[in-house]
Amino acid sequence: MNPALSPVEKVLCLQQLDIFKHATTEMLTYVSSIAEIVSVRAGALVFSEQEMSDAMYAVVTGRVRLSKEGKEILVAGPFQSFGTWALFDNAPRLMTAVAVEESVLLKIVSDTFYEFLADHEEVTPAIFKAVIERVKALAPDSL
Amino acid sequence: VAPGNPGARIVLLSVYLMLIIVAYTAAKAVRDSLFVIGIGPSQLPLLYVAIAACMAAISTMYPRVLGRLGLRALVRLTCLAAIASLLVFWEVVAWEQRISLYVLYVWVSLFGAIAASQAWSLAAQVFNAREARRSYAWIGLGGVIGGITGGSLATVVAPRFGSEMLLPVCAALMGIAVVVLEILPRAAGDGKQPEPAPDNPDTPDKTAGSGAAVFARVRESPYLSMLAGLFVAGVIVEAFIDYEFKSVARQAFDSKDQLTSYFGSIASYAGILALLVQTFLTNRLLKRFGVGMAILMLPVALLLGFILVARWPFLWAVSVLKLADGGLAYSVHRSGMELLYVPITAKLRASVKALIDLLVDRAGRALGGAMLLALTAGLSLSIPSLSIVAAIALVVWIAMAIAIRRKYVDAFRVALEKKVIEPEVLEMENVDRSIIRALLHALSSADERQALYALDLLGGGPVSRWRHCIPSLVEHESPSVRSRTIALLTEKNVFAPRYVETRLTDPDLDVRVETVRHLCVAGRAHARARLVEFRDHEDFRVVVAAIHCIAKYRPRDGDLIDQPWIDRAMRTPGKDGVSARVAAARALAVAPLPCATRLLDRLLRDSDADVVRQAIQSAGALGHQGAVPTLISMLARAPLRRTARDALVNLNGPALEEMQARLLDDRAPLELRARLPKALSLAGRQDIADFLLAVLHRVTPRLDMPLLKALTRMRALFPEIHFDAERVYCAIREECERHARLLAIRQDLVREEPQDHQALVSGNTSDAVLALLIKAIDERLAERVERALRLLSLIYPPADIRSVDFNIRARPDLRASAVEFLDNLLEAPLREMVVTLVDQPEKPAKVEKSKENAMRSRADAIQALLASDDDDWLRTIASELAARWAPIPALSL
Repeated sequence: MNPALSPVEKVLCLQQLDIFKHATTEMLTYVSSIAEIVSVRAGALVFSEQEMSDAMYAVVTGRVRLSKEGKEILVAGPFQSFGTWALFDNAPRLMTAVAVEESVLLKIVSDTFYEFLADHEEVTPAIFKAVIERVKALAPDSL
Repeated sequence: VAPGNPGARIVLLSVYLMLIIVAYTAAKAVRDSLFVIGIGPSQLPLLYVAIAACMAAISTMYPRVLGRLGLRALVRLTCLAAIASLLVFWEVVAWEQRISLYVLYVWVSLFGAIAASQAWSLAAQVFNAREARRSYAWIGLGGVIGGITGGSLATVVAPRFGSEMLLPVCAALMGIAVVVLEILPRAAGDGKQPEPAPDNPDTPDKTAGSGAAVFARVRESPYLSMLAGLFVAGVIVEAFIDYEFKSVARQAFDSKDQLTSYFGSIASYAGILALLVQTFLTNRLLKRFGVGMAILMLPVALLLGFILVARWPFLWAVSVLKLADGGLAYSVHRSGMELLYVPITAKLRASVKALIDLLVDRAGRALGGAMLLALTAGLSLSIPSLSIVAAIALVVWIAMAIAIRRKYVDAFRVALEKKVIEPEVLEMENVDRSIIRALLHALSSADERQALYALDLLGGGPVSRWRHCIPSLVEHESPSVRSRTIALLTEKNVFAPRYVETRLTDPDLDVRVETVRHLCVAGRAHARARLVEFRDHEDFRVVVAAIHCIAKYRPRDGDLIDQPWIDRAMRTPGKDGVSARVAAARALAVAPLPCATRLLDRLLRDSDADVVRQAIQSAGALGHQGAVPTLISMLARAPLRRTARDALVNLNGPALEEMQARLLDDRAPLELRARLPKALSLAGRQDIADFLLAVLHRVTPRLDMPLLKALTRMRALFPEIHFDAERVYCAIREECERHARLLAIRQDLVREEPQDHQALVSGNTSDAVLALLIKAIDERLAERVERALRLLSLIYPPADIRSVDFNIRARPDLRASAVEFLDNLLEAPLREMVVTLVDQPEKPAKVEKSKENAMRSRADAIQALLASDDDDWLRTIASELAARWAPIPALSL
């Protein structure tokens, strides 16, 4: 059974995520309403490489290891997200995610997220701003 | 004269320009003959330089005088000054003072340039952009007739009554011009057209950059440099022509009156020649040989003319030279030169034209005068020798014209790719061959936007130019190109059923609709019969297209849609079912069926979003008031929201009343109520604006922001709407008070741990919930400032308030300046409240209970938040915090 999290606890987690850094706390309460709580046991597969991406995840408690072709890339701990780009591109996963220990995750499904944005258009500029900052950081000379 | 009648305005302006040109041409013949007889042609080069200098001086002063007096007053003043001057010259020339001939010479040149320019500025003011296209040709015709008449007048009057007698005649003509000028405002309606007009050549586009910047652009661009070079060559050669013409004429005539008559007749014949060339030759030449040939005609003709004068320096030879200049320069050459501006962006074109008019032209004339001065006074060259020099200059001119032709085609191709050419600039009826070739090349592009753009440009001219492309365009891979091509053929009454018929089963609905329309129109008398044929077609894709065609283009044939057809469409199963129901929904808006509203209600509940969307549109178009509750509920569904909103605005009256009632209904879902202010605002009605303003702060706080956004949208879209300043003032005061209360709570929350203040704000404290609460309060405070500024924008210029808002939020270095500006902008009662609000967001605004608030403990602050009923989110965090602190006795709530 999935543990219960209050809206405030969900917001506390979401506000740490890069993609929501420009969203107001109230906007995050709306986002929290579409964030599913997922419990995974140690060693459980969250998603695998080349799988179609459909959701992003944020770690509430526990740790998740991300690896590419068997090589560990990073371990995501509490208040860290992974698979963020899945919200935007629906491309095959670049990495495999496996829970290192028993973990609680927040999962935001891409389709639900777009439906949410259609109803809460005030959130869209905050998301755009974060994405553009990310792109600028990746290619500072081209912008 | 009927007020606002464009026909009357065209006639009046044509007459006005004609009178001015008659007076100028006749006065020019007089001054030329008086000068070359009284002083001699040797002084002419000096005058060319003097005229260029005077024009340059006037160019610098003119905009200032224009700005001070306004165009109409300045034109009137110019005419009156011209009348007075002509009468004075009539008196003074009789004294045979040499200086008066110099002054007369320069004055006539300045009068001609200023008066003609003013006439066109006036035209730009009394005609809007659409009228200008069809009226300018007629006004220009007035000018051409004026040139012919003025020359003829000089030819007739000078030998009979003496050359000087033409001066009072010209004054009388200018008197009539003043009367025409007085009638013009009545013909132009109320005479309140904005002045100066946007295209006024006297006020070049300031946004295009400074003169130096434009000059740099011209210098950097080989194309623009060549363009300027062509103009310089033209004005230099013009000085040579004028000098040689007058010098040889002087040798042929001893009598000033005979000379005036001769000058007049040459001016008259040159005018007739120009009219004939422009009417019968220019378009044909441009279409057959292109712009390259058009700009070569004049220099080649002049080269031959100068060779003629060099060999036979007699009156007949200079007459031929002058006629060639007069006949070609203001017809085919001018049209060709205008086309050279087409590949330049509109903004740059205005600045380059201004630069050429103000600087290049003046500099070229001065240079021509200086060269002549050096060659005649310095080197004492004869007319044949001068002709050889001019011929050399013409060879350079011809070389530049050949070179620019190649650059022009390249520049046009680039302009086409960048889509900088505006269809209205390109007069397709008169466009040249090279442009057509480039457009046809773009038409065959696989790039959809490129092909559509070329199609739009070509659409302004005859289809014969792109007829051979029709098969490939109708089969183009882009559906937009296919449908646009077929639509264009239909609009142009060019029927190509052989090619178009194949698109009846096109996968794209728009293409099929255009095909049905085309085939119906192509059938001419049998259009309705063909429509019936398509309506009953065995392929349902054709049937759907026919219904859409009736709805879009042939609503008069709405009776073709009957109940059995609708029933058949509603029952259509399988893959065609959705298109059939969409077509039925569309058909119900045009078919006069008694059960239309019942069927629409059914379609509004359809499972497919496309069907529902079309049913919403039809409900709006049909004025189906019974659908209002359903349409309002659809505002909560994102995919249907926009369509439902438009339909509700269409339904107007009862729909708006229902939306107002729902907005006030506490039982209605908040998600739906939050959508209503925007939908209401689009109605653009004063009573709706009053309602939205009255509701602000009177319903749940969650609706305040949607209400404010709707109000600011109304302010932007409907400037005629008035907002009650007193109500706005009260709303701003309420925002300021709420801001102050929240700020006091915030200070209480951070007071007990001042050393941890920054840590709390940045979220690094262990007590994350408290940090979250403080962050949420900060967001609320910023929102209060935004709301106050939005309210201000309802009663102050929105652009000013937007600028303040932007600088406060996004440019910390300009924050102080923005606040200072606000301080000066606002009136006394608002100033203190709002400036305090935006100036120091970290300090509380002045409220009566500030001392009491200062004493509040952190627990009291949490208690205050829990007790407040206007902010669910802050209450939720405060409640979570209270629960976490409950075990701590000191903070127990």
